[in-house]
Amino acid sequence: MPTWMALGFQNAASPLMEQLIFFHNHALSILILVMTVVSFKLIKTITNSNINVQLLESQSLELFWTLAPALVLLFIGLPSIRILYLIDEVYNPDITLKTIGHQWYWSYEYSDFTQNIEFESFMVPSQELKSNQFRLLDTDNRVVIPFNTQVRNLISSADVIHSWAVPSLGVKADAIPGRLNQVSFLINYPGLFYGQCSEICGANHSFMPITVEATYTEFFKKWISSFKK
Amino acid sequence: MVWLKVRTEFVGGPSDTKGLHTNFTMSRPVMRGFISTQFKKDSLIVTGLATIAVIAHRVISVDPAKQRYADFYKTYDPKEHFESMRQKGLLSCSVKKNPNILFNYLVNADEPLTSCSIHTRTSF
Repeated sequence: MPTWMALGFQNAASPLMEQLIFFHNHALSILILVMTVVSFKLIKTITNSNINVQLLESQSLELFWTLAPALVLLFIGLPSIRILYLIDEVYNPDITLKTIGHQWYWSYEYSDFTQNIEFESFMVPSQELKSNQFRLLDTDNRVVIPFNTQVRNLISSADVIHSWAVPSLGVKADAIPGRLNQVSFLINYPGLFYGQCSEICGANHSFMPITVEATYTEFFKKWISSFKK
Repeated sequence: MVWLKVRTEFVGGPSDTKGLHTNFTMSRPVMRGFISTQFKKDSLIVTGLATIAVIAHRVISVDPAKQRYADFYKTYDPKEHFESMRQKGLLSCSVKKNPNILFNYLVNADEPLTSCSIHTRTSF
């Protein structure tokens, strides 16, 4: 979850998010390379008192400043495409979760089991927070998922466009009315993972968070079986 | 490169400070291909600077980040982590068993989930 004065990404809790963080660091290295070159040339140009009024063309210079950016783009693009295809890979998910965005809460459905499990997830109001709960992040009902299990999440909306996002899992997908968006993720370790609606959807857009609870499969099974018809 | 040579001499000998006379002589600057040579020199310098900057970023930030993740999973115990969260009451759907037992993997299927319930809002 986000911590005070945090500048970077949240700690990755899924393999995809780890890859995204590593790619971000790689792209930052390339950015530092380009910025060093550009800053140096800028300072040299500003401080240079020599002027060549007869300079008309330079084929070698043009070749260099065409090839160099192409090479830079190649080094950025190839890892990016790799992660893009990794994200879209479907790994035969064990559990399918359906998420519906409403104004202003999320509702979830688990339809893989003998009985259809549906519930709504509202933000815990600040006045009702317990001492171990986080303001604007905790919800009354959490999305319980077994960890180390491939999960498919089908996201849609009942009214306006919302967005289901959990940064530490590297997941974000728009909840669009009349459309199903699919995301797939796997959680590496048990714990609580928080997210917030990421598409402006009205007055309480900031007050419809997401809480994912990753637990052991045995506890998940007990949780499922605890739902009475 | 223009070399400026400065030579100061005393006209009336070393003791004569009033007759100070300074000669400035300059070597002939090479203007042909000047920008090109400057560019090549600057390119070498900037290549070195950029290499140092990228290597520094990799050594200081990128590689330690990957190592931190690798080290975390080497020593990570999910059972201990899960049990500590459960004992603190952070998980909504887990049964609190005997706190002296670190982790009872064999969950009793008949034991009810006392702390798990779906909350239904009755007021807004």
